[in-house]
Amino acid sequence: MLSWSISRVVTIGLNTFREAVRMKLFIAMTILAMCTLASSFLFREFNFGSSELKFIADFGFGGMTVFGSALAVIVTAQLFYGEIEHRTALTLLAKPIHRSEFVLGKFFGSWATVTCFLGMLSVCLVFVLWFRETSILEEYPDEFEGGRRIVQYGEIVWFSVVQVFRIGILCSVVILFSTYATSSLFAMVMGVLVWIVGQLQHIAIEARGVVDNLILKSVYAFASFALPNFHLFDVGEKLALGESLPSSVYLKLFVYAFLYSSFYLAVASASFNRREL
Amino acid sequence: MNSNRSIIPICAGLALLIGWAVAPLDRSIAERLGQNTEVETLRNLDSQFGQGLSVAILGGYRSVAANLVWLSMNQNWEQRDLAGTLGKLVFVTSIDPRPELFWLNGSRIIANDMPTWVIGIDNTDLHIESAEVRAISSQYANRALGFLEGSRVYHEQNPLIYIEEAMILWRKANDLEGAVGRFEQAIRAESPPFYAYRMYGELLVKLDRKEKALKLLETHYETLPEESIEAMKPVVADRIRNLRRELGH
Repeated sequence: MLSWSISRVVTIGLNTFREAVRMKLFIAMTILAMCTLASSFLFREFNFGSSELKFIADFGFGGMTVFGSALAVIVTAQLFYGEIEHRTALTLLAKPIHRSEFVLGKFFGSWATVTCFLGMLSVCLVFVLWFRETSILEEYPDEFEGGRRIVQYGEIVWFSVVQVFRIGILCSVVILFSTYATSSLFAMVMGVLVWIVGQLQHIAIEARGVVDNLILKSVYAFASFALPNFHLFDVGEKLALGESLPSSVYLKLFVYAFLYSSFYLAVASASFNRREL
Repeated sequence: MNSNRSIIPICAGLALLIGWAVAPLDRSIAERLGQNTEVETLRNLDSQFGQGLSVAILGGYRSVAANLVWLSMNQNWEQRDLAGTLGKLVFVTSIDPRPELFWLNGSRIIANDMPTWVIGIDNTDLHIESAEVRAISSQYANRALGFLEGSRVYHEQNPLIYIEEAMILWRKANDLEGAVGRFEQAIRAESPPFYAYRMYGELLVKLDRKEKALKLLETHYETLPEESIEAMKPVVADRIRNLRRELGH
């Protein structure tokens, strides 16, 4: 019997990554997101002083989550379901490869692609903030205590790391839907829906405790337990206000993302094993 | 094509199970990040920016939404649109009351800019003798103070808010006793800036409470670091010397 191999997962992952970064969509999204970040230079027209840096950070963080999540859904569905749609998965799975290795390889490839995208945006955001902070430091030195810089660049890196965790869950959800889907559009739509519902999940949590109707309570309970709470990963609001978060929060977010991703990938592997190609 | 339909109920059941298992983790992270105010925020808003804004706030883009409204307010400010500016100032602080810059800059707009729009001239100080100008200035000072009052829940121990209130009471409402009270609160708050003591000292001198001003500055001087430019240690020393000379110490 064929033993399970991590090297095959890595090979599939690397190929998926190479395929993804050559996609026109990836390049277009990267350019679009960078242009959005660069457009925050327009804030200087308002003469906000050092407050402009908070505005730039907010827009940068917002751009990273929106574009990152959109890219995760589209790229993962395209790369996974595309293989089934174009029948290339058949050629690949005819070789001595476990289906779970294929699922994991595709997941890591897609995840690495979006991580790469987030990395580029982070560098871009750091550059924009550093450039504007240097200019504002010269224009309004009184706003900087002791001439010290106020942007905590390390926190931007942490924000990106947290987004990588979030993207991990989203990619695994899209993989799960792709193993079941009969079209890539279905996987994408379901991925977007999970993203939106997950983002608004805290409302269901709050509503669960407020309503008395048992049916409604059950619906809210299902929505709040069955899907991940993506809102937890919105740490940018805190960081843009100059607050630092303890490492325990990052650790908890990692555990949360790891548990959900592992669960979705395990179910995706089981589902893909049963699928007739 | 698909033989895995039976997996759906199992999948849903397992999803519920893992959701239930991570719920304590979820709660602890949300609590630490203070992510339990979005729905409350929404209750306090009117719908002038449509449902898109509600989704943005609930979806974790509250800061971005508030920034956009602030930028929109900036346009009203440029056009000296009093009602529009005031409305959006209240709106933006309802969306995101956490950044102090919205409160501080907002109160400055209300206390300093709005009276000049009403009077129709750029420098109210030139016409300070006019009773009408004084009344308008005082009216907007009170509005600004009322606006800052809304920040208490989120900025209870923020010295900058107290200093701002003190400055409005002093310069715009001519309520010097009220300003003394606010400066007292500012220097008792957490990490007050160095200039709070200098300004408070200046106000006490203006009120002819030079002994108190001297005592305040002397106590403050002891705590000033040598290396900090903001501390302005030589300036404080100079003021102490002048006060001692005036009081004959």
